[in-house]
Parts: sequence; structure tokens; C-alpha cells
Amino acid sequence: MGKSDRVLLEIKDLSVEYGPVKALQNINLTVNRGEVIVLLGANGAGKSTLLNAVLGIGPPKKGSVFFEGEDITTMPTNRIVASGICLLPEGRGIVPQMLVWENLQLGGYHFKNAVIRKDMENVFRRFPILKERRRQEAGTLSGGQQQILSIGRGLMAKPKLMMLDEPSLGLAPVIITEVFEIIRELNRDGYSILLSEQNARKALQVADRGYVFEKGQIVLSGSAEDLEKNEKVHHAYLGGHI
Amino acid sequence: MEFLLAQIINGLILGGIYALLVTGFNLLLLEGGVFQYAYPHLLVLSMYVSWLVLRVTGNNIFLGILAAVLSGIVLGIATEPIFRSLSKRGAAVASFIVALGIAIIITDILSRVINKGIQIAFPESLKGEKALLQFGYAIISAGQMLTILGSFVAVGGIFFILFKTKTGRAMRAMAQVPGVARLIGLPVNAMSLYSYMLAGILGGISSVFLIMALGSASSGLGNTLALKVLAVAIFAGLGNLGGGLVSALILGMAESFVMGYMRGDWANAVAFGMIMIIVMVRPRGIFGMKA
Repeated sequence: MGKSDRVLLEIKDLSVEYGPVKALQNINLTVNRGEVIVLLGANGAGKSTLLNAVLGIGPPKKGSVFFEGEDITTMPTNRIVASGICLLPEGRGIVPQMLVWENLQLGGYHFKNAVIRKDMENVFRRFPILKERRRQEAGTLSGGQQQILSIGRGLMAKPKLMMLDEPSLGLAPVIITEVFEIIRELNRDGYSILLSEQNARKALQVADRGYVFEKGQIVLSGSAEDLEKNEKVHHAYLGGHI
Repeated sequence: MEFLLAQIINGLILGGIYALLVTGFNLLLLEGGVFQYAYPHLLVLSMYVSWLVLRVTGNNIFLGILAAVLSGIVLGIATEPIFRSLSKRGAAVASFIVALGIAIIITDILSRVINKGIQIAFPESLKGEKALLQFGYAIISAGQMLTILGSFVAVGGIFFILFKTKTGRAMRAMAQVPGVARLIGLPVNAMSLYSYMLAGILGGISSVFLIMALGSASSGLGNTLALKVLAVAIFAGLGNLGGGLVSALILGMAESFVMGYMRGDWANAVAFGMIMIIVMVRPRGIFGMKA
């Protein structure tokens, strides 16, 4: 396999500024096919800004984003999603007053209804709880179920790369373990994953590689094992200070 | 009995027209985040366009109606770029000021330029005054029947799109969670334009019904209607589509009954007095605000 076949997402020298605030500075990052990549860092370090920037959302930026070799830097968001990148928003982003199956349908918006129906059956097979609750308003689901709905909705877009923004946020520990187990399964099924996460311990267990963000810059990167052993990471994100 | 029936028919007609307008208004509020005060002014402009086309074509009714509906759509879509940047920045109050500007400019143009500012009159043949059904003194004319049925069908069509189609669901998602709609890949710009188009169709259709109901139009009509649409929308709860329909019928009926049983010039005072009291008791409207 050549380099271009192996690399799924390539971010080159990306900077994002909100007025005088440098939200991201000269970010270089790659996601290879089949990898799970984790972005670590405190709140406001720029992880969400980066995920949004990949989708072409947010303030003007310098640098470029390539997906499967194609420059998607200035592409409209809906076309980027249609080309194979989905984002599971922070806080899950389900539509509370719509039914579970309607939420799923929206995930596959750019496909024909027949395709959507088939994909929804697949999602229901993977997550039977969603089938059970399909006629329920999404806002009535528990936090964990909402996260599963968000993942299911992401799958409806038939993504090659799934980006998850803080998937464990606000969930009970048992549910968090379940969510990371799902992420592992998705990766086994061939989905490449880019994950922003504050729960570094869990995230590094499923990740192949990681990048550590501080004030909009990448200060550290490497394999998950290396990062786990790194003293700085240990102190800042693995609770080494306790 | 016949008199009561006549009031009910009038109430349905007024209510139907208000329902069209408040649905269009709410659609723009929900999808574009825009407080489109000038929405009724645009439909008055459509009435004037229709009038001009009627004059030019020697009262060709088909072309007159077509001009009203088409100009409604064109005017609707044409206002989208004006509001786009405000809508993206969530500046609802600023959008109200811009809408107010559009409303004043349209009113001024109509009161000075077209027909030297004199009230325009539509041909009798457009009113469809031929009686369809007659109950003693109470008559339902063809035009009235068309207005009542047409309003139901048009509003029903919009609700079908919003609640039973994929595009409509995407539009509702955009209204409920605007940020998320974009993140999950819904084509929000296209959908925004689409909602302006739908509102434009509703405006165009209601301009036809107003032509039939009133038989005339003047430059001040936009302001009168805008106040009523605003009142109905706030009375129901801003952005509440279903509540808007019920409230439109309530206001239509109230106006019609006051006109029938009291002196007609009290219609607005009573209707707005009622709205005032409801809003004082329930500031978020009787059915509650949405989104």
C-alpha cells in the first residue's frame, strides 16, 4: 500500500483564529486507515475546534485538510459528511423532540430513502435498544442510550472516518466502559476513529496513537503506549498528581 | 341562525388567511431565526404585482393569480440574502429592525409610486361572488369556498412536508438544534433557502385569497396585517406551528363576531384586547414558545 492509500485524513499546518485568539496553531496530524487516534488536552485546548475545522465549520483558517487525498479545506460541511466523515457532537447532539428513528434518518440525509431504510436495519441489528425505542422521543432516552443513538446516527452517514467529540462526557462510569467497548468494535469493523477525550486512561486503552493539545498547539504525540508511560501525560491527564 | 352562519364563514376565511401568514412567519422564525415583520408587506406587494399584470393583460384572471403566487415565491427567496448574515450570527433583534426597514420602504413605495398611491381595485370577476351554497341570507360564494378550502390544503401541505418527509424533518431539526444540524451534515443553507421559498408560496397564495376577500388593496394593508400576524404568533407562542393555526382561527372568529354583533370598527380593539390579556397571563403564549 502506498502512503496515499494508507493515509485517510491529513491535516497540514492548520491554524484557526477567533479574532485575536489563536485557537489552533500549525497543527499537523494524520489518521491512517483503520487507526484509532485520540486527542488529549484540557477544556479549551482546541480539540473540538480541530474536529469542527475538519468539517469546515468555524472561523477562517490557514493550512489545509485532506481526506483520501482530496483537499476538503473549503468544501461545504454537508459535502464533507457525504464524502465519508461524520462527527458525533459533544453532548451527543440528538434532536430531543424527534423520534429515535427520525434522528437516525437525519444521519443518512444525503442518501435515498431505500438506502436509509436498509442502513437503519443494520443500525438496529447492531444496537437492538434503538430498535426497541425507535418510536420514542429521543429526549426521553437515558444519557448512555442517547450516546448510542448518536453513534447510530453517525453510522447512517456510512462514514470511513468517525470523529467523536468527548463521547464519555456526563456519562456514568459503567456506561463509559460500554461506550469505549463500542468504539473498539467499530474499529474492528473497519471504521477509522478520531476521538477527543478528557478521560485519557480509557481513551489510551483503545487508541493506537494520540496527540496532546495545549493552548491550541500539539505539544506531544506518539503511540498510545508511549503516551501512557509519559510522565507529563501521567501527571496532567491520568491523575498522577493524586 | 343565518346571521351566525355568515359570521362563522367570515371567521373561517379570516382565520384561514391568518393561518397561512402565521405559518409562513413561524417558518422563517424557526428556520432562519428571522423576525420577518415585513412578511405581510411582501404579500401586499404581490397583490400589487397581480394588479399590474391584470391591467397589462386586460384582466386575464389566470395570469393575475399566477403573478400573485409567483411573485410571492420570488419575493420570498429574494429576501433570504438580506437576512443571511444576521441569521448566521443569531441576531434576531437586528433582523427585526431590518424587516421593519423593508416594511417601511415597501409601504412608502406603494403609497407614492403605484397608482399614484390611490387604493387599487381588482376586477369583480376575480372575487368569485357567484353563490355556491345559500342558507337564507347566508351565502357561501365560490371565492369564499376556495379561500377556506385552499387555506386548509396549503397549510396541510406545509405540515405534511414538515412532519412526514425527510426534508421536513431536517428542517425541524434545524429549528430545534441549529448548531447540531450543521455538524451532522444537513445542508443547512439549502434548507434555509427552501424555507424562504415555502413561506413565499404561502404568502403568494394568501395574496390571492386577500384579493378575493377584499377586492382592493392599499399601501397601509401591510402594516395592518403585520400587526395581526405578530399578535397571532405571540398569542400562540412564537414558533409554535400548531398553536399558530388554532390562534389564527381564534383571532379570525373573534374579529368576525365583533364585526357581526358589535360595531365593526371595534373589531381590532376587541381582538387585540383579548390578545393583550392572554399575553399578560401567559407571556410565552397559550401554547408555549418553540425552539
